Amino acid sequence: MLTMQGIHKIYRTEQIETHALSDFDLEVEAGQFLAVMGPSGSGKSTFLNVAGLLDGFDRGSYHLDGADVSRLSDREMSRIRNEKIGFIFQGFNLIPDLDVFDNVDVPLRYRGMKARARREAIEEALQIVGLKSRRKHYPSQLSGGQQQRVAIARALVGSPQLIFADEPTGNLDSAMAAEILDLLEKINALGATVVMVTHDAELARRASRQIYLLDGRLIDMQGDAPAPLFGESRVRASAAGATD
Amino acid sequence: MLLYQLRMAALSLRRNLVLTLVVVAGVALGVSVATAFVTIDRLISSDPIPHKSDRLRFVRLDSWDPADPFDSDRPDLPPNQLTYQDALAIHGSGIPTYEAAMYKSRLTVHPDNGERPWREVVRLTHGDLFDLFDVPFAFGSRWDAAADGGPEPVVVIDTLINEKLFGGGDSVGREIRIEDRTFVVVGVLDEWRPPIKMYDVNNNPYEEPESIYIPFGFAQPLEATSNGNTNGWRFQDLDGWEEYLAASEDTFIQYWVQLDTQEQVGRFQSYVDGYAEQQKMAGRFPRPLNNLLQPLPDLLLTEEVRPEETRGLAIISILFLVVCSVNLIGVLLGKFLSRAPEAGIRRALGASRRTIFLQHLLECELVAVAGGLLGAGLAVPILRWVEKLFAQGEPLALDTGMLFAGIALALVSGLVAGLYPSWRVCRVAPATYLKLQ
Amino acid sequence: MELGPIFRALLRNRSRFWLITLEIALTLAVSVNCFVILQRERDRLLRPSGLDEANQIVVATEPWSEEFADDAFLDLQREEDLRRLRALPGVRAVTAMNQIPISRAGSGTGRKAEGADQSESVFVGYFYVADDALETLGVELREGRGFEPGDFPTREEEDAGDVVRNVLLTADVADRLYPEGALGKVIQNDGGEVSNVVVGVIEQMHNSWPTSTAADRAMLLPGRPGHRTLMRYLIRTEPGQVDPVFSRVEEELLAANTERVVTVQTMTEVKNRTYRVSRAMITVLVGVMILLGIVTGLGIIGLTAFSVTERTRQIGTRRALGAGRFDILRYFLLENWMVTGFGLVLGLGLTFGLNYLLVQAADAPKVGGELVVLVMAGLWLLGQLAALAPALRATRIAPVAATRTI
Repeated sequence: MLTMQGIHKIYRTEQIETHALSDFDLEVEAGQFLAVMGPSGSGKSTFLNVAGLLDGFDRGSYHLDGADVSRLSDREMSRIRNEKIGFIFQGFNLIPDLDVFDNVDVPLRYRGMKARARREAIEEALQIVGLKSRRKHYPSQLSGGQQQRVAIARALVGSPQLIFADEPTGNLDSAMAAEILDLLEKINALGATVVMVTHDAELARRASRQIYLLDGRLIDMQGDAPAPLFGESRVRASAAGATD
Repeated sequence: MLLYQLRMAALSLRRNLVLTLVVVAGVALGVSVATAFVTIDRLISSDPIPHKSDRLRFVRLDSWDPADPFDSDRPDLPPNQLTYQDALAIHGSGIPTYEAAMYKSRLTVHPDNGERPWREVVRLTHGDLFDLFDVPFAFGSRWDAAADGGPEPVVVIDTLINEKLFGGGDSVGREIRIEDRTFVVVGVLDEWRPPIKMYDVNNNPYEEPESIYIPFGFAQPLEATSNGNTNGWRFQDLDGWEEYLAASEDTFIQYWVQLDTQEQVGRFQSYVDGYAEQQKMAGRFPRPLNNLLQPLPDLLLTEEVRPEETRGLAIISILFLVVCSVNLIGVLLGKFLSRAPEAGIRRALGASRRTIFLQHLLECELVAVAGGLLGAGLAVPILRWVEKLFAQGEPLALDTGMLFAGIALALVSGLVAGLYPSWRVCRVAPATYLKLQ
Repeated sequence: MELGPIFRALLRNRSRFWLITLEIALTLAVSVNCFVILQRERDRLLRPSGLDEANQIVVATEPWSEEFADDAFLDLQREEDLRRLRALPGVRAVTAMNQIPISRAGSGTGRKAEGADQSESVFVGYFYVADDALETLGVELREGRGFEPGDFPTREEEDAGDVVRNVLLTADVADRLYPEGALGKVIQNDGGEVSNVVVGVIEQMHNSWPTSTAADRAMLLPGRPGHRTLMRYLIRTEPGQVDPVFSRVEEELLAANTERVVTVQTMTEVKNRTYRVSRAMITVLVGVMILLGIVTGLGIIGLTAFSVTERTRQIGTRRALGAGRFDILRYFLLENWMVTGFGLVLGLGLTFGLNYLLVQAADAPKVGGELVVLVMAGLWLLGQLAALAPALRATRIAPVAATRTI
C-alpha cells in the first residue's frame, strides 16, 4: 500500500537545519492498522505530512498504492488525497462556517459527484459515526468527541483506502477516546488501511502493528514484543512528555 | 486613564506603521474630496451678505409683452431687468435708504504709459452700489450722489487695475482715460471677491466683479452699450443710442434698493405701482400690474443661481467619503480582531468591556484626526483645481470653516467606522483567546 | 457547483459579507449616477455644430476712433479688412458677422410663417453676414442657394427701411415654419413688421447658444455686420493652417487701422469656453470614478486578503481533503462573485434612490436600465479582479497548513 525508502525531510531556518526524517524506511501493507509512536519532536507529524501528501520530502522514494509520489503533480496529489486518503486531525479541523452535513460534504465536492449520490454517502458516513441527528449543527455547537466523529465521517465518506489519524484522541477524555478508537477499528475492519499517530501506548496496543520514531528514524516494534533497547518506562516517560 | 489609553493607542498605531499610514491616507482621501466639493457648494450657495440680504431688494417691473409672460415657466415673475427709461424714472424717490441702477459695458481704456489701449468691462452705476453691498475701500471712497446725475467724471477702480495702471498704492486723484474722456480716481477697492456676483445674477453670477466703476449718468454720453443680456419683446424702429435709451422696451438694467423698514417697503411698493399705473395711461405696461421688490435670497432662488453641478458633486463626494469609511471599517475590523488575544489578556487582567471599547475607539479617532488634518490640507489644492476647471478669474476666498469642516467630517467618519470594530473586539470573551496561548 | 455551502458559509461571516455588500452597493449607486451625468455632458459636447470648428478663427475688432461712427468709413474699413484677411496665405474664406455661433453671446428673435399667429412663432438665433458666409462657416446647404451680391441691400435701401431681405434658415427652423418646404416662402417677425424670403435651407448649424434646446435654430441675413464699437470676422483656414494664420491676424488688421483693440481666438477656444462646465464636469466625474474604483478595489482586496489569512488553516484542510489549487481559487472567486452580486442587487435600490435625490436637488438626468446593467457588469468584473490577488495567494497555502498549530 505504502512504501518509503531512504526518505529525508529537512527543515531549514537561517541558522539551523533540522533533520525531521532521515533515511526513513517503511512499508505498510493494505489492511494494516498501524500505530506510530514517539516523543515530541521525533518526526511523527512530519512522517504523517509526508505520508499523507501534505508536504514534500527532500530525498528518497515514496510509492503510494503503486504510484511514485515524487513524480506526481500538485493536481494529481490533490486527487489522491481526495480519493484514496482520509484525514483525521488532532484539532478536528472542521470548517467553522459550515454545518455538520456541509463539513462532511467538503471532500465529495472536489470529485464532482451528483447531489443525490453525495447525500447518500454523507448520510451513510454520519450513520456510521452516529451523528445523523446532528447534521444541521455547527461545529461550535458540538462537544469535542462529537466534532471528532464528524471529522471521522468526513474522512471515510469518500471510501478511502487509507486513513491517516493524527492524535485523534489527543483532545478527548478517555471514554471518548475509546469510542473513537472503536470507530477506527470498525473502519479498518471494513477494509481501509489505518495509520494512526499517537503517544498513548494503551491505544497503540490495539493496532495490528506499532512503530516507534526517534530523531526522525524508525524503530519497528513488530508484534507484541517490545524492542529490548527501550523499556516500557521509557515509552511512558516520553509519552508523558508529549502531553505537555 | 485617558492618558494611558492614548499611549496604548499610539503604540498600537506605531506597531503597524504601514497599515496606519494606509488608513490615514484613506481617510484623508475621502475627507479631502468631500471637503473640497462641499466647501465649493457651501461658498456658492451661502448667503453672500448675511447681515443685510433681507433688506436688499431687487426691483422688477412688469413692462413685458401682453401676449406672453417674461418667463413662461414662471408666469408670475416680472422681467428680471428694467428698461433704461424706467430705471431713470423711478430713481430719486428718496424712499429707499440706498438705491442704484446699474449695468455693464465694454469700454476702451487708454493707458498713458504708451501701451496699447484695451477693452475693459466697466460697470455704470449709481454711487449707492458701494453702500448697498458693503464694498470695502482700500483708499478714498465712493463718489457722492451729486456725481451720479451730472455726471462728474469720477471713477472707482479695484486693486487689479490699480496695479496695472499705477503700480498699486493710494491712487486717489490720479487720472484714467476711458473712451474719449478723462476720469479722476476717487476710490480704490480693497480685495473683494464675493462667491457670487450678487448684484448682477443675470449675467454669469460666478464671474468676478468688474474692475472699473463709473457714474450711471455716462450711459448716454459715452454711448456705452450693454455687455450683458438684453431682453426685448417689441419691434421698435429707433434711430441712434439716444433714442434707444429714451424709448426702447429692451431690458438690461439691474436696479437695487435697500429698504430697512416695513414702512419703507410699503411706501416704495406703492411708489413703483403708482409709476406703473401712470405708464399704463401712457400706453406702456400692457400686462396686469405686477411689480416685485424681491429680497436678495429670494432672487437667488428664482433665478436658480445655485449651480446644480456643485450640488450634485457635493452629494456624490459625501457618498465617496462613505465608501472610504466602509473601507475603514473593514481594515479596522481586521486589525482589531487579529489583536483580539491582547484584548482577551487585558480583559482577564480586569479591563472592563467599556475600557476596551473606548481604547479601540480612541485609536480610530487618532487615525481620523490625522486623516482629517491631512484631508483638509489636501482639499485646498483639489478645490483650487476644480475651481479652475469650472470658472475663470480670481479664486474664491477660503475661510477656516473649511479646515473645521474637514476635521469634523473625519471625526464623524472615524467614529462611525470605529464603532462596530471596537464593539466586536470588546465583546470577545477573555477565555476564548487565553486557551489557545 | 458548490454555491450552496459557499453561500451558507458567507452568512456565518456577516460582518465581512455586509461590508463588501455595502461597499459594492454604494459604489454602484455613485458610479451609475456619475455616469448618467457624464453621459449627458459628453452628449452635449459631442453634438455637431455643423461648423468646420477645427479650422476656424474668430476675430473681434473694437474701434475707439470716432471715424467709425461714419457708416461709409465703416463699410470701407470692412472691405479692406476682408481683403487683407483673404489675402493671408492658408486662408480659405473670410466673412464678417455680427455675432459668433456657439459663443453663448448672440442675438435672438422670433420668426413665424407668413400671416401665422404670434403663438406659432419660433425662436431663432440670427446672424448678419457679409459675402462668402456659407463657405466660411463650412455648413452644408440642403436646398436653395447661398447669398449672391444682389441679396445685400445698399445703405440707402437699409436707411429707407422696409427692406425684405432674402435669408437662409437652418432645416430645424425651416421645417417648423413650413413643413411642406420653406424655399421661396415669406417669414415674419412676431409683430409682422419685418418680412423675409427664404432662399436656402442649411442642413444643420448651431446658433450662439449650443447648450440650449433651440441650439439648431439659426437664420443668416445678408447685411453689413459691425457697428461703431465692434466688428467681427470669421476666418476659415485650409486644413491645419489655423496656427500660422492665427499669428498674423492682429498685425494685419492693425496695419489697416491701428485705432482699435483686436482680439483673436480660435473657434476651438470659443467652444472650450462655452463647454467649460461640461468639460469640467467630465474631468471631475472621471476623476471621482477612478478614485472610487481604486478605493473599492483596494477595499475588496483588503477584506479578501484578511479573510484568506483568517482561513489559512481551513484552506489547508480543504487541500488535505483533496481540493486542488484551482478549487481554492474558484472558491474565493465564487464567494466574491456572490457577495458582489448581492451588493449589486442591493445597490440597485440605492442607485435609483440617489438618482431621485440628484434629479430633485441637482437636475441630474434619469438613470436608464441599460447603463445600470453595464455598470453592474463592470463592477462585477472589478470585484473579480480585486479578489484575484488574494485568491491566488490562497492557492499557495500548502496542505500542511492543516496540521500546523498556529
